[in-house]
Amino acid sequence: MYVIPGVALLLRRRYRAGLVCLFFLTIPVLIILFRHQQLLAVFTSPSLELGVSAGYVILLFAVAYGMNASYLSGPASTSDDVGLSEWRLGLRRVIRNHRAKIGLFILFALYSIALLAPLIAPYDPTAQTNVLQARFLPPSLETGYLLGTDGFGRDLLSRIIYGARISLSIGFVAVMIAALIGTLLGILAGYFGGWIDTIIMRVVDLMLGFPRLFLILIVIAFVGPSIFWVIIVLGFTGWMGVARLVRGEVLSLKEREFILAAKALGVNTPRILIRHLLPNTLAPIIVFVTLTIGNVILIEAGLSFLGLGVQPPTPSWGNIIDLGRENLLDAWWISTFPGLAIVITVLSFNVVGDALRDAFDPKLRED
Amino acid sequence: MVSYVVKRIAGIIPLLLLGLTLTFFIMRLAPGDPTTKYVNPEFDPELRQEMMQKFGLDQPLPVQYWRWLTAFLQGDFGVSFDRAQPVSNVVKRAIGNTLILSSLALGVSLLFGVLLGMLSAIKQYTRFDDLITVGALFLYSMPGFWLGLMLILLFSLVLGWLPAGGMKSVNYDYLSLGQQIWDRISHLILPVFVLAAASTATTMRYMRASMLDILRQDYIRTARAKGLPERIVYAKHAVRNALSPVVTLFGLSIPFLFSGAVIIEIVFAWPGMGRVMLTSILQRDYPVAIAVTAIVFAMVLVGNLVADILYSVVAPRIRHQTHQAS
Repeated sequence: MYVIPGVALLLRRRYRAGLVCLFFLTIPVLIILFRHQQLLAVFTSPSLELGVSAGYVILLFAVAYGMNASYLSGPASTSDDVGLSEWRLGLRRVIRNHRAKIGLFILFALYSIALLAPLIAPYDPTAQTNVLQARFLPPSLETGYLLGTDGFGRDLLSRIIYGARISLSIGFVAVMIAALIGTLLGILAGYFGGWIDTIIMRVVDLMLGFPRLFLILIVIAFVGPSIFWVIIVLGFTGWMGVARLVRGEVLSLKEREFILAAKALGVNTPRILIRHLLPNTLAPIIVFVTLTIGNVILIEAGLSFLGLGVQPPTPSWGNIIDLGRENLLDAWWISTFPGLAIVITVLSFNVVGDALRDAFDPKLRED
Repeated sequence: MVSYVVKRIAGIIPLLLLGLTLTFFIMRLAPGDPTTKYVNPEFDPELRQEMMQKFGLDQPLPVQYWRWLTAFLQGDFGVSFDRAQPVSNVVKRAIGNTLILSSLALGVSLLFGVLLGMLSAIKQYTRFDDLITVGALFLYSMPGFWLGLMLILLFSLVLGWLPAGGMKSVNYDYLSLGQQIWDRISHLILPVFVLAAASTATTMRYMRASMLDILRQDYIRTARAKGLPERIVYAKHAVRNALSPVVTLFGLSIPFLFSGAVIIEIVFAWPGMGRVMLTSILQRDYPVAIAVTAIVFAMVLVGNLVADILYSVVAPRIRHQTHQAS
């Protein structure tokens, strides 16, 4: 019995930990039971996405067994707050927030779906069978098309599942680029001050004043629509907020004793910036990143909707909605479901972001 | 006050010039020119040369820039490559249409945002407050174009209550005056609602946070302690002070109203700046694209200026600080 992670925990009446372990175990087990053909295809086809999915299945096993082992060996109770770092305290505050827990769970599920797309999508997202028979089928259990089909007879559910990869990865990568640029410039502006600060903050003001979508439209229209350029442009037009935030933090941090002490000890400047200033600005950056990923996903969807982002036949939530416009009344499901997917994703990011902000940044708390 | 305003106006002139210059060079240095869409084996290279000459594209870039800048500052935006008419003609109507849409949306979002934010702060932790905050979170997380499509589906296609797009009906000229007014309004309802939805949610969140902050202040407790009715405590003491961050937000939301309008205009087939911008970029119609971008940029700067001045009226300490600093 103890081979199954979680069971031992349940027997020892550690119900919550046990259920979490069991949950992590269920996903890969279900996949092995129902989609083993696709999983076996990893060995026959050299496709990278199948490899990633198979890797994720193994990772889930590892997480389940790892958590099981650490819970079994760890102390029975961890309720004392003594000696916990600010990070652990903050994370605990997030976990205690009910909405945030649901948001985190949904995000975990969404990223799992995106990573496991080839294993769980019922159909190939670009496969067209008999178009005349299969197109515009309404959602139903009997036909096997749970969310219906589009005008080319492609399964909408599979397209939304594959679309999740685009939206989630573009959002993440673009915001990472923005956060990197913003952090770098913000630290430089805040720490060195003077003309460096003036120039950087002038550029920030200029770019903040300009409607972001117009900038993106101009660039995309000239380099041509592609996923790569959407990511780059979203990254390079989103760093201003981070730069302001980090600059403010650094301005107040650089007069603090530990920085002065480091300077007095003769620590060189790059080391002060990276080892002493950067870690202390990390919490607001993480909050900011979570709160802006949602926004970036919305912009990406908008661009794909306008036909300037991800190009068909590659599915993305934005271009599926665009495709559904032509038959809005007769085939309402095509535009409706990807929109719902966007709302759920962005809502989860915003809820988790709000919770992180409340936990790590008491100054910004709303109530 | 006057010197503050003058100083701020003087401050935006270099920014405006810089913005115009950047726009011009980004547009011109990008690959492709307006003649490329005619390039095919049958297209005469001499004709192409003639076209380049006619549009002034054969001149060196600095010359083009200087010509364009001097003309632009005099209000001459050049001739549209694509539509063969002055850019100002194309842009003028589009600006008017966008301004109708975005100013109405801004008004609606400010009104409802402030009102709902205020009420939900006063009734903190009640069911009303929960409803408003969760609703705002939803609207805030929703793509505007999708909301627009869903509303079109419901109100235009299924129920048939409101038109699906455009500014007026085909038979507009044959309607009576009253019907004409309703026709205009009915075409505005959905786009204004969609455009206002997300910014209402943002305004509401700000207003709620700022109101909650104010309600914890000592002077509010004093006002209550001296026996003022709640209504007067809120109306006279709390709301005015809670409004100042919202005024800043007003300035910040001006660029959003233009960029948000791009997609919404396309969903609702609204003949505004967004549509002009998109088609001009796709057609490589430089004069129009540059003019639209520059005009939007100028409007944004002016909007921020207006917001700053309003802010200094609402919160005089800002003005005094800048006076002391200078």
